[in-house]
Amino acid sequence: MPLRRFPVLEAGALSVLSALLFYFFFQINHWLTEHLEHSQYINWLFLPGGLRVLLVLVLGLSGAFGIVLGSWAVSFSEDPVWSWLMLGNGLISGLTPWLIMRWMMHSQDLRTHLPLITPRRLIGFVLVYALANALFHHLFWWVLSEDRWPQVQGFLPMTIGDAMGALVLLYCLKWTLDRWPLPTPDPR
Amino acid sequence: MFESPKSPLASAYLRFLQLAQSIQALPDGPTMDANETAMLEAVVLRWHEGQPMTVREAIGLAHLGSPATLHKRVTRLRHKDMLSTHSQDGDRRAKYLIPTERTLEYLSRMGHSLQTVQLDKA
Repeated sequence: MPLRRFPVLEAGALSVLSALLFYFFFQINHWLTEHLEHSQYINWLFLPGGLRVLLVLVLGLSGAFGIVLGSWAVSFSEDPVWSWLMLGNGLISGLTPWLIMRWMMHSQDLRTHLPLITPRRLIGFVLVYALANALFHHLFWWVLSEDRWPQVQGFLPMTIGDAMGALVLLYCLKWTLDRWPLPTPDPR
Repeated sequence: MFESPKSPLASAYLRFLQLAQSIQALPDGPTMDANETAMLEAVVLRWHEGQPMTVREAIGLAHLGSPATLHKRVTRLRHKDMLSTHSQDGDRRAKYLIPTERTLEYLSRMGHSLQTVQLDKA
C-alpha cells in the first residue's frame, strides 16, 4: 500500500518524523550547550529554534504539528504529568513559526510560501519568529504565573537564543551545501 | 496544469530545494566590493599562469588605481583572508601574492554557478 496515495497518512508520517527530530535535537542541544542555559527551556544558543524554522518552511503544518508533539515529548520525559503549562508550551513552540510564516505570506500577498524562502526573507523570518516565539511564551507564562517578574527576565535570552540557534543551523547547512552541493539534474 | 503537487512529500522536496538554494545564497563574512574583486582577479590570473604577482607589481596596476589606493586594497584583501603573501627562499625582498583556501573555495563556487547557468540555458 504505497503511502503517497494517502496524503493524510503521508502528512502524519512527516509530523511523527519531525517530532522525533525535534526531540533528539533538543537532547543534543542540552548536551552541547548546557553551560549556556539561562533557565530551564531557555538557552542563549537554542539550536532546536533553527530546526523549527527548517521544519515549518519545508513541511508546513505537518512540521508545525511535529514540533508540538516533540515539545510535549521533551516536557513529558522530564515531568510525566500533563499540565496547561506543558500543553501551552508545545502549542506555542510549534504553531508560532507556522503562524509567522502565514502572516508573512499574507502581508506580502504570496499564494505559496516558496517565494518567501529568499535569503533576505529567510533572515527576516528568523528574526520575526524569534521575537514572536519569546513574546508568546512569556505572555503565556505571565498569565499562568503568580510571581511574574522572573518570567519576564527570560525574554531577551530566549529571543537571542532562538535567533542565534536558527542562524547557526542555517550557516552550518550553508557550509555543508557549499562543500557538497545538491546534484544538478542532467537536462538531457 | 499549473497546480502545485498535492503530495506532502513532493511539496516538501520542492520547498527543500528552494530552501537549499536560499541557504547557499546567504551572505557569508565580509564581502568584496567591485574594486577588490578586480584586484583579486588580476592577482589570481597571474598565479594561475604560474607567475605569481609581487606586492610591488600589484600596487603598480595603474588601470586599477593609484599605488597608495592599491596598497590599501591588497591589505584589505589580506585582512579578509582572500590573499596571503609568500617569500621565496633566498630572496625575502619580493613578496608574492597567493590566493588563500578561502579564495579557492570562492572561485570553485563561482565556477559551479557558471556551470548551473549553462545547464539551465541548455
